[in-house]
Amino acid sequence: MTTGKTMGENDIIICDGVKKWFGDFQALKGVTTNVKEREVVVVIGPSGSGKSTFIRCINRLEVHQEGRIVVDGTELTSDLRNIEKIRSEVGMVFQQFNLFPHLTVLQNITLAPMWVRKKPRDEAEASAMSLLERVGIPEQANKFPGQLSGGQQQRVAIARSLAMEPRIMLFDEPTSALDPEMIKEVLDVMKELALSGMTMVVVTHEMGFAREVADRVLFFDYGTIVEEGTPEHFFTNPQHDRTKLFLSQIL
Amino acid sequence: MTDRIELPEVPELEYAPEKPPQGPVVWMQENLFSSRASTLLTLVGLFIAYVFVKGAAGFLFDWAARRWDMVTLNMRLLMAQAYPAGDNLQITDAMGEPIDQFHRIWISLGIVVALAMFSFVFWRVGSRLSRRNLARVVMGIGGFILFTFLGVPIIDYALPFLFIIGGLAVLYIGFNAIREALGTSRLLGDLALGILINLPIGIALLVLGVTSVDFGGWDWQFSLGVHFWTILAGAVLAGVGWLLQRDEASKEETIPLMGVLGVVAAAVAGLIWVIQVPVPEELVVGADKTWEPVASSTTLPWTIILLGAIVVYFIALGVRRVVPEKTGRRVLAGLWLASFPFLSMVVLRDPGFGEQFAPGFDLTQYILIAVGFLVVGGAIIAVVAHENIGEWLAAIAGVIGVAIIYTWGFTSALFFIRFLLVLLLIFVLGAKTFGSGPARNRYLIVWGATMVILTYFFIIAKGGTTVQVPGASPFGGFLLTLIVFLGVTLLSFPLGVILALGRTSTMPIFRLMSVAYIEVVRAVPLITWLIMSIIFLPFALPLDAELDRILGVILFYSGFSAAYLAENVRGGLQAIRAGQKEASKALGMTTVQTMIFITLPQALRTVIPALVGGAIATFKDTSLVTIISLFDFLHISRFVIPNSTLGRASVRTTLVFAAAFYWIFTFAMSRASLRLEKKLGVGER
Repeated sequence: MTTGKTMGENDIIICDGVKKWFGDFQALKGVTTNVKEREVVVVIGPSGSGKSTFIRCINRLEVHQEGRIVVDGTELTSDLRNIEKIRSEVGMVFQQFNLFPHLTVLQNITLAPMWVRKKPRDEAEASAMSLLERVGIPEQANKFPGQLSGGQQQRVAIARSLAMEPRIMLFDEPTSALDPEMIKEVLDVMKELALSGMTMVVVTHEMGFAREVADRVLFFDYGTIVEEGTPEHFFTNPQHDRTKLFLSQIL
Repeated sequence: MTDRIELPEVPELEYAPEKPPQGPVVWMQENLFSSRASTLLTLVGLFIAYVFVKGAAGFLFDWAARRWDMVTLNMRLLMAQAYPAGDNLQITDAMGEPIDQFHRIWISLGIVVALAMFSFVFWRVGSRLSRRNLARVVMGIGGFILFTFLGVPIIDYALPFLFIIGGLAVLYIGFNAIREALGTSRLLGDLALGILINLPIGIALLVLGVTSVDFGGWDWQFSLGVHFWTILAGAVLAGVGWLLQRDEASKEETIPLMGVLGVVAAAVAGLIWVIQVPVPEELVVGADKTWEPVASSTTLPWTIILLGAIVVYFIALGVRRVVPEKTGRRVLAGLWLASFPFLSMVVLRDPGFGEQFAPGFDLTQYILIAVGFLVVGGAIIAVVAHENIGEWLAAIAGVIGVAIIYTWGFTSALFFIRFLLVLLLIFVLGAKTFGSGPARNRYLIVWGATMVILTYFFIIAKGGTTVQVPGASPFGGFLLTLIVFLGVTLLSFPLGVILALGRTSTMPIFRLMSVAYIEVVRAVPLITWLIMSIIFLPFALPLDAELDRILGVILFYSGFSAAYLAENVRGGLQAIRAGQKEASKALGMTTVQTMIFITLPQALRTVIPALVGGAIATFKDTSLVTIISLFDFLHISRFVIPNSTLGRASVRTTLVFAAAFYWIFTFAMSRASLRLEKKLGVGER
């Protein structure tokens, strides 16, 4: 691995036979996989394959109906307190950024630390500013999201998630809504984050990113994991026909 | 193959060409007579305007029939009706001398003006207006005067000339058009047709001796001299306005708002000290008249308020240098909010303590209860707000809930306790979310302040008032209209928001209750609810409680208005993208936090126009309180003044005045809403 990171042995996310239906349509057909601490997992697959549903289940934005999901030692059940505890430790970045348009960039970042983590305002603002430095846009702190470019908005969204000091970060197609020129600036931030040892689950179509940063690649289709492996194995020597077809179409 | 690709040179930045200033003729040609159809529509529109303006002007300027003096003479009645003044002899002190309470109204007005000056300094002191906007207002006024005093008589008395002018206009516009589009046969045809029709009709009318028509309406009330000067003034205004707005530079915002405010202050000063009107010495028919300033008997208080406003302006400027802008604005917003209950309940009502209380009322008992709640409740909240006490929250809330049910009793003290228990329950439930960690002390202070303020209002509501009028409410006139409007607006807002949240809630019981409430309340006419407020409300209150009629109206009206408001807010809530809630949840925020910080602020922003529309409707509909014998502004204009000895046949005049007065306020509200929308919209673009 070029990243040279050390691998922890603890499984921080455990998924065991996760099934999920939308009405009669089965989106997840028994997904079983574990994510280790400090591991970067990239999820790829055609649209409609259930990969977004899968990571949305991890912080219970979608509710799975069968199977077991354990995040950081806590099983996801309908118990509200567990869910809020887990959500505050699992950061999520969305395709559409979902910044709060009525708040400034700084307010977007400090809101949750102040009201969920109960941090004093100055402390929250100081750490927000250092996060903005980290994603490279400290000068935008007092602007509104609508005044920023897509790439800048997504970087604010990442900073907003990081402000909660999460142990896991979920990325749901973070670059799909961006112009090609802005994709790089977001990917750079994500690479830096991966290097720093953050546990990450990333749904993306950026194969370059997967190759360079991922410890493991999951290939989803028809609601199940069709194939998984290290990037070298996955891109150079795929086993499954479906994977070969997919790779031949996008590479 | 080369390694370098030749790029074309980047073109230099160019500015869009400036539009040359247009003459009025070109403007008319483009906007009024651009085609056959628009010419026709312009003429039809002019005729409709003629009919309306003629009718309205005839009504307003019919000096013999209009009774404007009834408006000025009865100004106090219109504004404050029976509010005790020294000379209406309704209450007397122990020595039999009349007690003058009217200064309370002046004090309230003074407080509002002072707040307004502070707000001006903290929000808009550096604002500037564009010359173009001001000039166009002036031009509009001038144009309207010209149309009324020149246009209407021309149509009345110079019809043949109008046709001749029309023919000449067609001739001129046609020539211009030909110059621009030579060879277009349609334009030539129009030209010929216009001249053919217009000129002969005009000449024929002249030959026949028909020089005037009358489509009904008014006779001119002015002498030729007055008429001439009015037209001249209109022409000057329109001309000056037009000249001042035609260049591009006039778009820049250069005129300080402060200057405009200064002009207004000067106008007020003129009304107080300079401009005089005849006032009868006694309120009887045919009394002698003396000349007095427009402010008349109110010269002294107005003088104090005007001078006070100027002094407060400079104080506010000084304060602004010391206090950060943001803090100042927050404090001011709080003061505005607090000003309504403070002015209406304390200053205007003057709670009388001591022997004024209802029999059987024990002040000590109330204060003891309140202090108990303050201390014990504060302790409970402090414990619940602690990080690890979450498990106890439900249990404590349950105990309070049971206590609320069991204190259901029909005496005032128990009613008071129940009320405080509900308050405590709300604070306990919110403690975990809003009061833990660094926010705890602030939360406890809010609890204490809420307790003290509510106890105070409970006690003064039980107490008597020194502002009494035998057998009636002391509030009437425009004062009543304002109190009902502000009370309803302030109360219905939180209630409506709660109903909207209930209706969009995922919890079936709340959703069902909200839907049921909204549908029932909206299905019954407002007048019915107002009547019910005096018939049914007493049944729901403790036996020894007496509810002021106005308070009852405000409560029922708020409930009614909240149902409509809830539907507006619901629209805003539904317009928010699902991603917003997801992002908020993904950050670990609770449902309540998501609602308060994310969904509601966005929803309310989008529905500002509808909310202000609702507020304007409420403002006007306050006139319905007349149905339960409250003497509001409109009621006095419509019945009280016209039924007085002097005021016979003045109802048309007073109604026009009432309409104009309502308009000033509703127009101000709609302008304020536009400003607010613009301001809040900035961040979203």
